[in-house]
Amino acid sequence: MNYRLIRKMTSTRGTFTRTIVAVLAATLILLELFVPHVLRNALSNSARPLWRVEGAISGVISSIPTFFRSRLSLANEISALREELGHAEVAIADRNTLYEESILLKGTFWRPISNENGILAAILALPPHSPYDTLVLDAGSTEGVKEGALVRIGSVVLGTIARVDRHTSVAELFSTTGNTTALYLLHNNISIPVDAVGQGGSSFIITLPKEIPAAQGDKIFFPGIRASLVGVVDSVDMTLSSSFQTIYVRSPVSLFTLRFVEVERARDTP
Amino acid sequence: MHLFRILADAALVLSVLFLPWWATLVLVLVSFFLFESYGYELVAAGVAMDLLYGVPQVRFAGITLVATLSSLLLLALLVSMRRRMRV
Repeated sequence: MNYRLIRKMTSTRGTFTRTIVAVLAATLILLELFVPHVLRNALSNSARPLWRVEGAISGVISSIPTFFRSRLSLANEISALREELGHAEVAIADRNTLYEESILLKGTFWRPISNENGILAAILALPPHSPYDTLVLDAGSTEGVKEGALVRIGSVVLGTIARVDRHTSVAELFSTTGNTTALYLLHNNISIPVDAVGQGGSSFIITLPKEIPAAQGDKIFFPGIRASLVGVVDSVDMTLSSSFQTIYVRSPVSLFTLRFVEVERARDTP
Repeated sequence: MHLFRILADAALVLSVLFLPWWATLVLVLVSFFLFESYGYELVAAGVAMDLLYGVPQVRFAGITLVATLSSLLLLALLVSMRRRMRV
């Protein structure tokens, strides 16, 4: 007898909870569908100071003298710096080629490229905080950020702006799992159009017929007048039985060491 | 108990902002079985994730409410599981 009574009470309370949650969820979904910026702006503006505090705390922690830090953290920092140095070397390796190419293109097409700097934006949150594999940036429509603008670090392009709020924006990475981006592969000064499929973690996969030449160290570029490196071929996998080769590409920039990015102004966007 | 609940909610807010999404998931799962009617916080965490980080993506068929819908599904599963565990 008691069993049934308890069951009944619990069930009534559970129904009430479920109803409240359902009503709240329905309200939020309707708001999100019809007036999406209201909720996003409110939440982003509330979260921005907290992200900034976290950034400031990270900065303070990283500036603690090495004497007080553990051997493990120092070893981790050394390996991170080595990785960063490797990426920097890769980025510098093609700098002269890109510079010459840029001068040639400017001269050939008589098209001046804007000397204005892009919009400098601090990274407030990056993967894996975000289940969507996106970057939350500290610059929005007020600072001039537009949807579709390229997000870059020097000559390396990371992705595009997918959502703009008043003081924040969200960038979607080209390397996000499932994203397919039309790029071109440069092999011995020959440009080959390719479709790169994002794999997450700043890596891509490209599938090409075996006959098309590709080698480790080849560069992958984003089409456009401005030099835009997306990644470097890490390895090429081909089997005897298949008529295709799989090209593994990784971005020369490690996302986890980034604190700032440059967002191109609208007129620079190809 | 109220104090613990407030602390758990504060931890949830911090995990949504600063920790990987799976850490938030673990926190939500643990809290759900510790506190009564934790469904509000669970769904709120999903909505917050969508509003802060969500963009339409190909892998989710352009849906921007993936975390919200997932949290609702998870809530239904957890409520059902808790009811079975109490019998």
